[in-house]
Amino acid sequence: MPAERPLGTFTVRATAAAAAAFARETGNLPQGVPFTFPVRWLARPDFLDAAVEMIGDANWVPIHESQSFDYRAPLAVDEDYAMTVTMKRETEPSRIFLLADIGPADGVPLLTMEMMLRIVPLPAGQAA
Amino acid sequence: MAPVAESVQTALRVGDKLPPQKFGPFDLPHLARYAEVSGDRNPIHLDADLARQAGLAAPPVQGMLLMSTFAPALAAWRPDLALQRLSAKFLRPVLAGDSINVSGRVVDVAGGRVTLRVMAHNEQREIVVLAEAVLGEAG
Repeated sequence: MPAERPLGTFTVRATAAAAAAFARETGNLPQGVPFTFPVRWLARPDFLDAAVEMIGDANWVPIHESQSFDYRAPLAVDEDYAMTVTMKRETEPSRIFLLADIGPADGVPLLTMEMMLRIVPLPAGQAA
Repeated sequence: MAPVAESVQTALRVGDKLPPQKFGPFDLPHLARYAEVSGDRNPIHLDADLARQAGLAAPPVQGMLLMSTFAPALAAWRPDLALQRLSAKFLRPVLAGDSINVSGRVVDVAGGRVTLRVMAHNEQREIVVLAEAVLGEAG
């Protein structure tokens, strides 16, 4: 049975330095916000905590199964955006989904992204 | 985002190829640097023992590091177009030390957009990432 939980709305920003560092490591041109940079904003410890709670166990590793980005307009560096995130849980197979809308706080989202993680159990006592 | 200009649409045809471009090899220091800039702290990408417990011979390259090469590959091919949508499935792990080849093919030119099937192959010529990319005119 799928379960869904709103994780909240968060202020996010791609600083020029962070965007440039990301571009350097991924082969992107050092201009603007790299296309896949916003995935960084999903790497929050509290999101991991929420996943542990939804799964009911900490003894697993997430394997990235799929990812999508749908831009209506590019994001700008050094600008604040609102990111609204929902987490979904499926049990058969065991997966976690993160769905995020990013845009101006009072406007239409500029980017929608979806991350799907397969949950791989580890032997007892080997939590990642 | 702007649709593709008529001249661009005329110039592109279904079946046109995104020429193969090599990225990597992705060594462990690169995986560590990507973990730093992306915030992806999943230890399976940096810990060989943990990777072995998950059934892998070596730490896998972060899927997002592989996917992140698609935008520069497309930009190098057609700098006059801008990537608008990208949806990818990670089919097989790429292990630390390996390289990938990114290539693709135009599958649709319609509605002011160009759609490509884009893929990354590993060194054994297996598809490791399969994606669909939608491009419009660069702003």
